[in-house]
Amino acid sequence: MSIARVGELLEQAERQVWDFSVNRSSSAPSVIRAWSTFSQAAAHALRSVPLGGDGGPDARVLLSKIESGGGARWQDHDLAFADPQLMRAAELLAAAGDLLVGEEPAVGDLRTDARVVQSRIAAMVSTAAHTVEATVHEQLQAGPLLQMIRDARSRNRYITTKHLDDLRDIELFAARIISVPPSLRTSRYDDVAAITPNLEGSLPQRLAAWEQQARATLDPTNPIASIPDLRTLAADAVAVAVHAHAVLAAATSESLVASAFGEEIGMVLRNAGEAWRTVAQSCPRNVWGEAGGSAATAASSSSVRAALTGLTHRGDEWMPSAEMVSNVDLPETLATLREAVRASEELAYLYADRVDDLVRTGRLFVAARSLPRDEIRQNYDVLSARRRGEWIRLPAEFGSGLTEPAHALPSSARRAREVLDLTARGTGLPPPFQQGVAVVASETENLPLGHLPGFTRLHAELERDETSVEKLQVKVRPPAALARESLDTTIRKRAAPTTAVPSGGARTTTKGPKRDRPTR
Amino acid sequence: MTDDTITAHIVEAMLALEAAEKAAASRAGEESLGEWSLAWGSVVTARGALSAAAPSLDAQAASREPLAAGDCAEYLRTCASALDTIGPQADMPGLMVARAYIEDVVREVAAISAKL
Repeated sequence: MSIARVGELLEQAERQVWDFSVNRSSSAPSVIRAWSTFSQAAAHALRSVPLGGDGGPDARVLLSKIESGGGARWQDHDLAFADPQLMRAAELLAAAGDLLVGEEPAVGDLRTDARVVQSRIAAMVSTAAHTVEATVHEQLQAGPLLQMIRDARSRNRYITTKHLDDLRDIELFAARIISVPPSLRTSRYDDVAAITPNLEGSLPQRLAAWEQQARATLDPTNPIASIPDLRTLAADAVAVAVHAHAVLAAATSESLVASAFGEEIGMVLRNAGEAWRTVAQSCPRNVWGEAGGSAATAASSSSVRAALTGLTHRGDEWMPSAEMVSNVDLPETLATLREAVRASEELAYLYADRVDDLVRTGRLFVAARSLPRDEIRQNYDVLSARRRGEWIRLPAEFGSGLTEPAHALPSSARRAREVLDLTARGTGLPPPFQQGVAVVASETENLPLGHLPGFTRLHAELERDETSVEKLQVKVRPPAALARESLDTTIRKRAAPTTAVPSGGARTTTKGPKRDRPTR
Repeated sequence: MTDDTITAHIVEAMLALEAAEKAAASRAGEESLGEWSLAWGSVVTARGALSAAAPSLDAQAASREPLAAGDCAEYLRTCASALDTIGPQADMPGLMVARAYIEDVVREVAAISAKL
């Protein structure tokens, strides 16, 4: 999420106005055009200051001067450029005004705070008006420049000295409503803010950003150990598994994926999600790292969650499968989620290493009082810390509660990636193929380790020489009790028909009871 | 509002969020992967954001006795209310971000609870 605060907006606007005033690098037409926008933004901001009414007689006069004249509406279609600094200041002022709209009229002490805001805006108006007037005046003396500038309302009036007088009046009245000393610059209204979720980017982009942030959190060279960030990362991996499961369920219910296959993958994803959740919950509340959570991690987490939820939800409700199928490009979404699950697998390894490292190097802290007295009886330093209620470095022997769930994580994450990989081309293919996928999916661990570039394991298999008995031998798993002779017989018997069948779907040599890997 | 009062409210919010997380985790455990798992994750993210807003108070909250098991939505409301009491603070912009996260989770959990 990103945050916009009145205080920061005003500060940035002040910086722009100050630079505009000091630099004076723009031509009179561009300055006047920018002033037109700036003065309207300033009027909006002044009206938004919660002082009730118009904030006093001087402010009322100032507003009327801005609105009725003062060049507020000077425009010329021939002018291509407006001064960028004054335009930026106008945007910032308008945004600050937007944030203040709707604030209750200030009473008591709050009126002083409101006056501070009003004074800051008035100071900007005064400075900008002075600079515009000076710039225009100087350039007017230099030549017939201003003949090009018309009043937007009458369309045919040239700028006159009256306009410059109006600018001087604005400068004067703005200066008069500066009612607090310049040193008093902060107010409680500085914290009126709008918080907007970071909604930029597609799902793949946000997943990539999330992965990058997660890798930074898990980087072994990262000197800061943050338990909240680790837990947030684990919770995000759960969300990836939940949404992958939901999308897969939709694909299965619409017969885009064989139901047995879908159920099996669903189960594996559930296990992976549970493993991540277990890891996140395994950290005791009284174990802490060297740092708290980071705003960047929370933001990337929120962003990826919003994208994933947008995929599977309609408002607060889960989207019905049929609707999801019609709204979402399912193969593409599955491909994106496969990438996310692959990323989760890699993160699982890094996570386990990181936790190991933090425990081993003593970079986690624990409330000494939470350590069981019996187990620290021999350690006098810890005992005395316990008496004093201090935090100490987590002794490595107490870290198993953290490391054991983390060690269990990679295997379930790997399994999830493996089975989800099998959907790479499983959707939209004829039923016999899907049945074949279902069988192979249950025996993934028996597939050869390597695969051809661009193919997932199953398809890599299909691309291989299918008549090779030696290779088939790797896939067929006889019962442990089966003799080697029987195995060879089985392979030859089953291998023969595969040469005559072009589709991988007929390769049912892996069907049958689950078998152990043959000894070669 | 004094610094001590602000600190007390933030620690109270942290404890309430921790209790809400525990309640959500319990519900997530009952239903396997589903909406409570997502809600639990959102609470964890909100807790991370609150920790980012006031990192020095994490250990203080962890030193306190945890709140008793209870209703997730109720604890989330307690947390939001504690932060609302503080109001805007000039030197803690992260607190407003954390509050926004918590408000999102309050809505999320309320929507789940409404279905029951």
